[in-house]
Amino acid sequence: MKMKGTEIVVESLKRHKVDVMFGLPGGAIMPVYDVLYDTPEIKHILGRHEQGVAHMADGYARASGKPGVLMVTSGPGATNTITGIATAYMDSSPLVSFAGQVPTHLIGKDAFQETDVFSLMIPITKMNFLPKKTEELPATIKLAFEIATKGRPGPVHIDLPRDVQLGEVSSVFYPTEDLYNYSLPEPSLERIRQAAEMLLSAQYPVILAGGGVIISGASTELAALAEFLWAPIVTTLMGKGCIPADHPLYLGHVGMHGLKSANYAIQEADLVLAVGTRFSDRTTGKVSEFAPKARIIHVEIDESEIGKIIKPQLALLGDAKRVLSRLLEVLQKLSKKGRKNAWSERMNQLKQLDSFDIDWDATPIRPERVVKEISDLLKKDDIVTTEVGQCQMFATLYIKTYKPRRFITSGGLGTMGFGLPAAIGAKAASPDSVVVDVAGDGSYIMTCNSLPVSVEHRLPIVVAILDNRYLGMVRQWQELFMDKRYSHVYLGERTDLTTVAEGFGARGIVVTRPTEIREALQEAFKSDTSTVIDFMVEREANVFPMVPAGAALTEFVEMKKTRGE
Amino acid sequence: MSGDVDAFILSLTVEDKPGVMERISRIFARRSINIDSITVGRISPGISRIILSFKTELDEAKFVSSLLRKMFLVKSVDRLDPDNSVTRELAIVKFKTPDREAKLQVLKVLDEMGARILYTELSYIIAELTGSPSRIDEVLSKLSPYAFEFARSGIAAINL
Repeated sequence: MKMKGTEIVVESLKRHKVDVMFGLPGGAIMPVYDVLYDTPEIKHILGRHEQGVAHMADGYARASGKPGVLMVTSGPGATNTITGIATAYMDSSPLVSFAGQVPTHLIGKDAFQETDVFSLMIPITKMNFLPKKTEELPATIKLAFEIATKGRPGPVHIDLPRDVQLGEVSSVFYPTEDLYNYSLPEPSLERIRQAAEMLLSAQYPVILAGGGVIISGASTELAALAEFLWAPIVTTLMGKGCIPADHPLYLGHVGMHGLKSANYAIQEADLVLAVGTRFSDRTTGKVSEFAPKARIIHVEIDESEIGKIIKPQLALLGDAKRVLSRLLEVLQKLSKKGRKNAWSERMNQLKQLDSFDIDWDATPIRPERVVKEISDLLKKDDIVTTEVGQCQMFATLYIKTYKPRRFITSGGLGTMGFGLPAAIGAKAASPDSVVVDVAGDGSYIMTCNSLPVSVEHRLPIVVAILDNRYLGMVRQWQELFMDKRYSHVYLGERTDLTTVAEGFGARGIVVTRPTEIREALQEAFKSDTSTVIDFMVEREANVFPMVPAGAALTEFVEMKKTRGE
Repeated sequence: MSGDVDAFILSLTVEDKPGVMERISRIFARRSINIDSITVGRISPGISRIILSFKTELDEAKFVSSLLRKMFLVKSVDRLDPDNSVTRELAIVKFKTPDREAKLQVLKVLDEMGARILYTELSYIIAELTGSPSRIDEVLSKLSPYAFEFARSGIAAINL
């Protein structure tokens, strides 16, 4: 039977069990959209701007663990996705992205809405393709799904020239065998044994868990290993949620705005078992003073990450789940039971450092209070996404996350505007969960044009804006490191964020007093339409703890008193 | 950073697809590593070998190699040890021969170096030089007053 390229694309999506996709059509991708018109089994969520479309697919992928699929048109459609795709690439989130392209005979000739998307995508994807013939489509699309999901996940992009979409092939062959010849690395038993011995001989072992633990689904193994060793766990920003917030061995997240207990634990450790982390500068602080007393074991699936920033004494190249389970097995053979090591007492002392001296009842509202109340109201399956900046760090500090894939944030790229569209994607993946975007007013404005998507598609989300009328994190740095010279960070008074929200068909609530917070949140959580809550917070509140960029992890900035602190 | 810069030669096998050179060269460009020489040739249907030479620090060279190794179109990456590999380059050079004396001088050196004469005119000679890159540098420096146009192939190399 003759089949068009467009039909092959849609059939391939079905074969990959795609039931939700995110997109925004335009000239060069219209042929595929004509087939989607007859494909009710794929729920298509129509974006309003392609950056939002990419973040939605990313939020869907992070919440579900399945690849997020997006489809846009050529030229500006594709270039608008670039921030979103780069965001996913930095945080190892699997996307399969399609963009229309002008017909092959016009590629390179500056045709209308033509951009060299093929070259633009190279540095921000695991792989990208520009099929020139219709018959290449089934294998190319299968390969894209395989590459996006195997090993360390990431985005894969496919350009679809219009003539390739419209071309016909007389018989279509959909490959069923694996096309991407990826073999999962596996450390030798010898190395696992060596790691076990290092762990058993350590007095102060610490487990540093990154996003790789979540991607690999290694939470159970991680907890079991920590309990056997009675070793504290600290997480990176991307690792938040890989261990329940109330686990007795969990100290918190480490890094620039890490908890004091977590940062001290790393600096006092004599052994760091780092799992699925790339030692970002926001995690390590000054690299030469990171974990100065510790030997380091690095469990990592991507060979290029080993030794990139921190040279480990021992590298275990492999998938976190598999490596941790083998490691535990060997540990259990070597030692009858884990012993309470030297940490137990010190851990309790360290936890004392994390008491926050905040006037929770202050007016204007402390941003910490808003985030804490959100956390108190959420159930374990609910999801928090964040924008980027102060709001993101308040969320990281005060939201308690109990399960993997329930805290979704742009870690590596730090993309303002990520949280709102990512919340829509997460809601599409987890319709029964409450999804809250912890936002700042600066970030919210960047992608609030995606809000109507949540309204029209009945994917209700809650946007909790910590409204301080500043680009808050930049203002905080200017206050602390630049003599309060607030250069171009004040956003003004005239923007009414809730009116904007209501114009998009969402509900808007303004909250100015701490006593109103809970009721507003409760209403929003049970609402069947999206709600934007504009929390008027203390304008010059700072996020603490804080370690300045380039300083060692325990060189905390002294908390200066602002109103309410 | 150790600061010690070494010369490296990498031998890659890659899928012969459009864009593969861009994918590889941008790994170097992003880190401001200058590629001294790059040669490409098909070694079997659909597969090419790329020989890259560049100078950087050892850790950076290892990192770059691991980035290349994980690329979908790259099938293998091997570092060639200069002491344990054969390295050759080809140069085609035009030498001006304004008079008989110059011509004799150029021909004498070329003969000593085992060059092949490809073409002669009254006023110039085109010769082909093959050898290690340093050998070619040596010939060109000896004949520098005469050589006025060159094309060098870049390095081809293979392990012993």
